[in-house]
Amino acid sequence: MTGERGALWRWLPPPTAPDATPESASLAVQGNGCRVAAARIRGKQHRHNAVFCEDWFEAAAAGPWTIIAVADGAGSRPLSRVGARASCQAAIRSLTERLGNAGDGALADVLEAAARDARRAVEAAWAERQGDTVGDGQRPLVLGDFGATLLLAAYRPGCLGALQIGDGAILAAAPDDSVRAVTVPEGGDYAGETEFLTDADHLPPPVLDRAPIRHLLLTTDGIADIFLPAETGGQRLLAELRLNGVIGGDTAGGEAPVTIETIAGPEGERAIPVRYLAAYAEALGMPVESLAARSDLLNAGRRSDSTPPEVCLLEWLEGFTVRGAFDDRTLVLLTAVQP
Amino acid sequence: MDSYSRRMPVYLVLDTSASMVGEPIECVRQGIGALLADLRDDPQAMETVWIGVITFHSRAERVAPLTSLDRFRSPRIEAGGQSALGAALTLLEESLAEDLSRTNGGKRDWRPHVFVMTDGAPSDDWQPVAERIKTRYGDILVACAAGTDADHDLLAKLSPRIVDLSRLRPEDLRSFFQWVTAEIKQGVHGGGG
Repeated sequence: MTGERGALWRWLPPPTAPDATPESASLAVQGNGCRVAAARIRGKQHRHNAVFCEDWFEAAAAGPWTIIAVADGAGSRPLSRVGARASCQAAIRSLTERLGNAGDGALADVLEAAARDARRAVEAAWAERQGDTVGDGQRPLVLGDFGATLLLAAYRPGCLGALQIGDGAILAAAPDDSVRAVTVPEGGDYAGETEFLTDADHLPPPVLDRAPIRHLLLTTDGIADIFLPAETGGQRLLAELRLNGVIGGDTAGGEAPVTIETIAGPEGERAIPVRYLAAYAEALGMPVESLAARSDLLNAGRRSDSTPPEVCLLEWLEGFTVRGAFDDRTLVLLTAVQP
Repeated sequence: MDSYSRRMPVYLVLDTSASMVGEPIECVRQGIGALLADLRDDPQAMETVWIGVITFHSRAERVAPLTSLDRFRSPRIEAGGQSALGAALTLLEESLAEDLSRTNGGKRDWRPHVFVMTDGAPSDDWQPVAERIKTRYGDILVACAAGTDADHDLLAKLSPRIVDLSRLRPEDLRSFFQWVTAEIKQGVHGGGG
């Protein structure tokens, strides 16, 4: 964390409560012609204010499919972390059961059913807590107290299905590294204004995409909003991930300048090395957008140790510092071995 | 890296007409100073809040353009003349259009906060521009009725939220700026997830 502002941030544990969520998590999934690196962290704001991480993710293999669920619990909803976890876990169970060896033609129906099953799981979590109150006993729990976004994707080589409720982003990178938004985020004009699984009386239609992909990214707004608009921002995001060892390459030169970010943690301050695209572009004397499209230079600048991608991702989520970006952060990166 | 993800734009639109001459305007100056000091102790505010100040007397002035909290310098504020609220809101409308980057502009800022402190006796036509701001940005204005002459019915047309500052005593003005600070912090802390 840079300078005077960084010194103001504290690390405070979340309160002791049922349904506590871990500080961070990472996961690797391999097979079905792709590999997945996933991670999430409790954001600086929640660490400073002793609040839980309210993001969740799940990723798994289901027959020939790789399936991913990501949710971002609303900061203003007291049990959003429960909604985020319940919806992701239920969606993955539903996709696993319903996809099986289903053909591509059933994918849209399966995704819609998974979203409905996710909502039912959140309703069940609410029902289990009937009689509980919030606001120091001032009112009973309502379903909206579990509000969270939900992003779903099912992939197998040659076929991608996705569904998005709320903000965040589902992005696909083509083999030429051009990036497209797969789904349309549901949000207002301003940050923090979005739809939630519990609020929506509609389901946005699933999107089926058969264009070849090299990477698929699902991310909550804690990362997505840093890299808007999706097309150019997505390419910068991929470049940052490549520089920091999350995306591999044939070579790794470690030539990009390293910034040491100091992050408050439970055991005091932690120093995390981060390679920034902008700093590397400045060192090379070229525009950021041009460098983001040059995989040869990005590989030359890339982190050069053998740390697994999901660990590199976790470290990058912790260390990557942008002013005003202090939400919980979740990113799931699928890389196609066979495009 | 010092690029921004999201900003929370905050505008103070302050009546500096003749009714504010003397101790009240000094209290406004001190109130802005206290607001800045308080927000600068808050890391979330430090990373997101941008402040702009518009004053109005016989005309309106953008005495401080929208600036990040760490770079903001207290503007010179003097009192005297009439109460050109319409001119101030016109300047606010221009500032909002110039300053705000909205979703389709690439980034997503937090919803802006606008605090309008006025004695409630405008000397010019202000309702058309107030309507335009409401239509385009929603209910982003909070009105503060400053002084015993403030016309609450008139202010109700400006904003559904009215803070009553019935007297322009130093402690009332201090309380007002403390309240504004708390409102900004609530906005900053309520965001995110």
